[in-house]
Amino acid sequence: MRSNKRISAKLCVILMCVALAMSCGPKVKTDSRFIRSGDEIYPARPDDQEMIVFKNADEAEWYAVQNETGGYRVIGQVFADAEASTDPVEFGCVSISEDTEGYARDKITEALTKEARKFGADAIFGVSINTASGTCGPDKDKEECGWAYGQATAIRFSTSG
Amino acid sequence: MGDPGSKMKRLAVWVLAWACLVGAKCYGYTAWGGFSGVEATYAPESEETFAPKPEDYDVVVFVRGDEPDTTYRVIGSVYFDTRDYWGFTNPATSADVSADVLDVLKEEARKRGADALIDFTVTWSGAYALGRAKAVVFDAGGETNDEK
Repeated sequence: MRSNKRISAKLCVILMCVALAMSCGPKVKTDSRFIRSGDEIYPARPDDQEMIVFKNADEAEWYAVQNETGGYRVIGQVFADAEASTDPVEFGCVSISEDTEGYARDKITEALTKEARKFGADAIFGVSINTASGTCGPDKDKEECGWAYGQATAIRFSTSG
Repeated sequence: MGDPGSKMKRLAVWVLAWACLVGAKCYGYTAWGGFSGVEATYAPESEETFAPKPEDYDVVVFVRGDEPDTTYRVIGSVYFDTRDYWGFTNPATSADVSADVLDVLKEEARKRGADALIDFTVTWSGAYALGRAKAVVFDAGGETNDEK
């Protein structure tokens, strides 16, 4: 019995440490939006379908030729933004020097592909991201925030149905 | 008690100050989303004018890299730049700004008689939003995808 209690107590301590560690990183919020091109509506791609991210239209074109996809069609423009924030006093975390801008940037491509998939895209290209950072939150001088704004062109391969 | 005349003067000054304040801030990004009191700029391609489309007409949008399957003719360009508005502030973190910029361009294109917008692009940051597109009418004998 005593041994069981000891194990439970240890487990609790470990879980509390994990929760504390998780709360210390930047908090990231993302938002995204898809603007459809033309009036055709395509069914969403499955969540487990891998989305390809091409550097530019030429790379997408080359892939389409190599894989005989019958070319591609631009189906829309996808937009996303992310805000990463750190609170240096929360749970004793000292994270004022965290790279919040970098965290926000990392989340953008993920948000863009996720949104494009919902509107039937197979891939995106031309990802462009702007970033900014500064102080924010109720205590303007304490909380560090990073923002990233991104957009990309969403495409669908012709033979993909 | 004070002089009724000076009271009236003071009241007039207050009313004027409020009017200036409200007037300066009557445009911008509304709390419920969308731009208020702002308009797009239109640069016509020629002297030819077109009748506005009905208010419920949905101007179709084609982003850069895509085009209508039917033939079309470019009648002008539409622009929207929040930097044209003194004191204009964008919401810092809303991807919805892109769609709101597009709404302003579509409305301007509709008033100018366009059927669709092509080459739509929008650039935005926490500080400003800049949208542009070409207004087109569907027109037999106009430019097609194949001719480009």
